[in-house]
Amino acid sequence: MIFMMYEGSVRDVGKLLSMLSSLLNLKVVGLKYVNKSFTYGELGSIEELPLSVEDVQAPSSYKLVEEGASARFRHSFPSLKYFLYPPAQEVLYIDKDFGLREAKVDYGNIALFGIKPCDLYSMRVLDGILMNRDPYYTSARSSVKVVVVEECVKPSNVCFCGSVGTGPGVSSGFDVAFARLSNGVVVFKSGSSIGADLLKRLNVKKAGDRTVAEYGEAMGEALKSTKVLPELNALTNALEKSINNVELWNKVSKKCVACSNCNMVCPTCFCTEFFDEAELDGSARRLKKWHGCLSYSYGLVAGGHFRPKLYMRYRHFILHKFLFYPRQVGLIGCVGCGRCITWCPLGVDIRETLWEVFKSVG
Amino acid sequence: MLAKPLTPLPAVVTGVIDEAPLVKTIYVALRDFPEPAPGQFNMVYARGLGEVPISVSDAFRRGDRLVIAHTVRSVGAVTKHLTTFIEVGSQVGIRGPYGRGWPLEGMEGMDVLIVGGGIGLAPLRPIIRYVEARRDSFGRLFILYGARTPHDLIYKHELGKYTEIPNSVVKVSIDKPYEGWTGYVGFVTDLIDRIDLDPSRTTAYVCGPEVMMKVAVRRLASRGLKADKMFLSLERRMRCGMGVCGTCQFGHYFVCKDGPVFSYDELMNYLWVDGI
Repeated sequence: MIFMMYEGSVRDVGKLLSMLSSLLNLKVVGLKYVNKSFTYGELGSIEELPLSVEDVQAPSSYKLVEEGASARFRHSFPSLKYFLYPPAQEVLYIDKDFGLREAKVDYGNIALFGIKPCDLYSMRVLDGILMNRDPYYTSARSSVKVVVVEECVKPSNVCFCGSVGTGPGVSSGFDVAFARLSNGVVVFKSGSSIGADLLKRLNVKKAGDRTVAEYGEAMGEALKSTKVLPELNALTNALEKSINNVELWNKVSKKCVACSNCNMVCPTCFCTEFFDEAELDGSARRLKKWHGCLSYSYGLVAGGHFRPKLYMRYRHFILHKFLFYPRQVGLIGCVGCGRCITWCPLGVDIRETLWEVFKSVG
Repeated sequence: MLAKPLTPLPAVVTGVIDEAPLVKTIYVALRDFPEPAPGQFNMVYARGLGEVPISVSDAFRRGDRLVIAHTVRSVGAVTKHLTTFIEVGSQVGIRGPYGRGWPLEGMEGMDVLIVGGGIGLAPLRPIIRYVEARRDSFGRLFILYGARTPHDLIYKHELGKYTEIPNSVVKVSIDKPYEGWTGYVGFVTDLIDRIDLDPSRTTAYVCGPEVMMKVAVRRLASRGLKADKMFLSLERRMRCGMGVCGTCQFGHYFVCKDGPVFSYDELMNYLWVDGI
């Protein structure tokens, strides 16, 4: 089967969305922008997608501007993990006689719609850690039957997906991808037999030579604008060499206040804390909640602390993404979305950190 | 994947031994529970408080039940509860067994050197049981054990019996002089220099405070032991036991599932990096 490229309009994006529910009987889930706030949930129509707002991002700064049809939205703080691995979940109820009741989750059958290449990649990273291990993630992830990706024609100021090879376009791991070009034309690509079938039914025409060329130029420019890091092999070598350079890690983390915002917004951070909420009748609820390596309690145990200094925890954040994830799941753990840069209250910029590390080894 | 990987199995406490100040061994009986391998651990749950990772310090069958011993030192909320309020008949929850234990299969014919510090003897005890049960398959058995004071030694009731194991050498140390103590005074790692070690045919199994294990590694290396013949059991903050909560990471390892037992070979790049 040859995956084809088609062209259509935003209306066709809307039709694709309704086909997923009407034809395939899937619950269509995406990042909704309703009442000026973002949340992952079931999409009724494409009106609920942030298609006419643009996110203006910079270190420690996030603004939305209404731009109409030319707006290009990239992302906000909730990444896909908000949906697949929620911030807090009850896992167990233990009654006063030690009877145990496990919490159940049922997501039904889902199509993810309009997710970005960086977030698509984050799902692969999380799969490597959590799939078939964490029952809740496994259940949520298994419910995803179709993935529709929106490629990023115009990445933001904090985006560096091109540097880590996760975007701004996609070449696999999706069913349908679409890209909104500046002239209003929407390019559709299929990435699976389901996707190919959907696009056939969507009745969009094969992309003309001019559209293909414009798409190529736009995506080429987008890729170029996100290539801002040192070359990856050289960078990982530099990281490897600087593990013990305490002075360097103190320097790059000196603005950090250990709030852990970066962990919360990072699409691949998965660390969780389990704890009990005791009731007066002797029963208890067991909950799990995100936990970030930047927060003081990460590594804290009764009688000691395995990461007492802030530089150690910041170093773990960086090394985990670039050195440890590749060893753990065979993939780089940073998707280059830049959320940690935007949502850091002090504007700590991972790109600057990586350049500092790179330069430190000469 | 287990059907309910995060749900503990309710277990009844069948025995409690006061080992040392703040240290107790809690025996629980379980049905339908996998037999733990030496060096593995369980997550022990105290309702309303939480779970703690505790090494299996002994395991044996009694009828259709598996009895598992967990030696617990009172340091935090859960362990304080376990060592204070838990008694015979109490209920706790158990999940496990987790992790990669001590490598023993394939080590037949080798001398076995055990180096334990304080409560670190707990995960090492199953090795002693294992070797004792297969005495002819292994070479000499060295047991080096140290604690701060004679009171802090655990398994006092059986330490003396280890010398009865054929072809064994048992040396016990305490950190500072103590009235009536006639044994060695100093760190347990000093004892490594006081035994007749054949580095080419010895496997070392080490558990204790991390600082003690680091000294042990250096001493063993200076005696000629290769990095892939030294094994250490690490401790970290752990919440899940199966590599999903992430909080036990040590370099790229999840101590809970890739360890807790590692060869020094595997740890070399991380062990000397503070807070990695």
